[in-house]
Amino acid sequence: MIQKEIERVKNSIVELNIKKAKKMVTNALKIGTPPYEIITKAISPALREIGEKYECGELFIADLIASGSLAKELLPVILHNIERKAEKVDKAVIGTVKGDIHDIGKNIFGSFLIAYGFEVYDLGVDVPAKEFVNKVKEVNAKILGLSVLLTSLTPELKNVIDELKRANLRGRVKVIVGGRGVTKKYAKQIGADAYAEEALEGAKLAVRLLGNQSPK
Amino acid sequence: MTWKPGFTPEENAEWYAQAARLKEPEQVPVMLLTCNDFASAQYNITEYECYADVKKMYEAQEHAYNKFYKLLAFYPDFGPATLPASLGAKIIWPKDECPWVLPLLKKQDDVDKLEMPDFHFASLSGQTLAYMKYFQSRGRTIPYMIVNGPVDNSGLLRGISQFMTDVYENPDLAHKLLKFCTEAAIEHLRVMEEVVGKVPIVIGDDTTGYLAPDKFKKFALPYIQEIFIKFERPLNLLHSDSNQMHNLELIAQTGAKIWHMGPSDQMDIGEVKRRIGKKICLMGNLYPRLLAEGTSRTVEKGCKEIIEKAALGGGFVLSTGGVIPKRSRRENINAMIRATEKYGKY
Repeated sequence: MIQKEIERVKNSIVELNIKKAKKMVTNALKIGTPPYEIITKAISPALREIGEKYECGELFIADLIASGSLAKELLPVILHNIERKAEKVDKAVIGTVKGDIHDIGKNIFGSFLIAYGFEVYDLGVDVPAKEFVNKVKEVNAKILGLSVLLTSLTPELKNVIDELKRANLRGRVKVIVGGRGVTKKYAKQIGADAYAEEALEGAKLAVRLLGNQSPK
Repeated sequence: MTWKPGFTPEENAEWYAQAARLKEPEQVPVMLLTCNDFASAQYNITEYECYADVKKMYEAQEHAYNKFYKLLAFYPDFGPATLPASLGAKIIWPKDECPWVLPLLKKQDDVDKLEMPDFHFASLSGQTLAYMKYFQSRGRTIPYMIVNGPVDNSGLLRGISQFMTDVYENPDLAHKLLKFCTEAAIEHLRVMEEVVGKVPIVIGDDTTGYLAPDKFKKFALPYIQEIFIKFERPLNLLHSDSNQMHNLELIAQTGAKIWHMGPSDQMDIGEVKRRIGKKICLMGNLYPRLLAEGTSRTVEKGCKEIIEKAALGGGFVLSTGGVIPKRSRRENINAMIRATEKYGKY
């Protein structure tokens, strides 16, 4: 029965039926489905399937946005019920740099990171460099994802990396940059670990950067 | 000797009008679609200086107009910020970028509280009218009226991510907001028409490309159609430069006579032509960055390929797939214009 509920949650997310997905999650929790299994066996696979469908041209950007929003709404409900035991979960901090308020790519990136098993701390938009660094330190994040749309604000990416160095954290976290404001060349210039042209690519890079091991 | 085109702006305009009627003119027309960022960069002032001072905006546009063979249009605008500002949204004015909009409608109830402003006086819409009158006082014709489309405006007011989520989670709310934005666009156009006359309209609705076809049909098409029907004109243009390969047949139903499409790295204009080229005039779609980062050779090559794919049968205007970037080099823009002469004769 629990397996059936998990399957129902997964299917409702893939169908992008937000109301149904919320209902299915509530039902699943009610009948005693382990909360963490809802994430790892329903939400993450659903988001990955959505990502694959997007890559094949079956789904589109609005679908990614909606699925990301859904995941964002469901996770606090589930995480509230979770007792983390021995499972090691890799953490990622993401945000749009200071001065920039664009968030679509970042939001989608966040949901794909969840799909690949990361615990995501989304700092939102217009985030100062120090705030990124403080959060990386606080949660011991292995991945830092920085988004920027406006070319005039790309220097902020370097500010964040410099701030990581000043805090002696640079060696402990992999920095992935993305957004229309940045290029691969620039990313290399400022010392980022990777550049992602698209959100799904970014999530896959995050996994690879941590040594090809799928995080739990 | 300084190069200049072998045709006049008037000839180009006539070819453009013929292309809009899906005819084969004498030569492929070229459209250099620019915004204030281009004019300000060419004039070595910041974008903010343009927006803040009508004289500087005019001088910058006049400078670009003269530099590029009078093929550019004069148009005073504030980018996507106009309607949201007129409704009370907070606008951020970066030093050298387009103004951005902070979402106004944070709660669902906020949508019910929206009221139609008087566009004669409201914030940036009133300022646009004043700037239009100034341009006219300097002897310039404003050749069209531009509004954001309902999907773009709904996204700006609600936050794009939130609005796209509304489409799935609360479609009634999405429709309510789209309806309001449609009525606002119509009213805004009506007010602008008092100043500029019955000129063609341009609807800019880029984020419609984010929608799957079934969602585009419900949440974009009827609203865009309503605006074009209200202002039926032979040169009406839809600017939507996101990837629309999945929505092509619907784009052709919007009521626009011309579609300014997105760039060649996302959309094969040859396929677009095959599918909808007999229904709507196609404008595009050189990868815009080539004009800033490429060479005149790569620009010419890119234009040649596009012309070869899209010109046959008429109904085609060469342009960039999106607006011309601010740092575009003169020799590259020249190469684009030359390509219509070299490869675009019918």
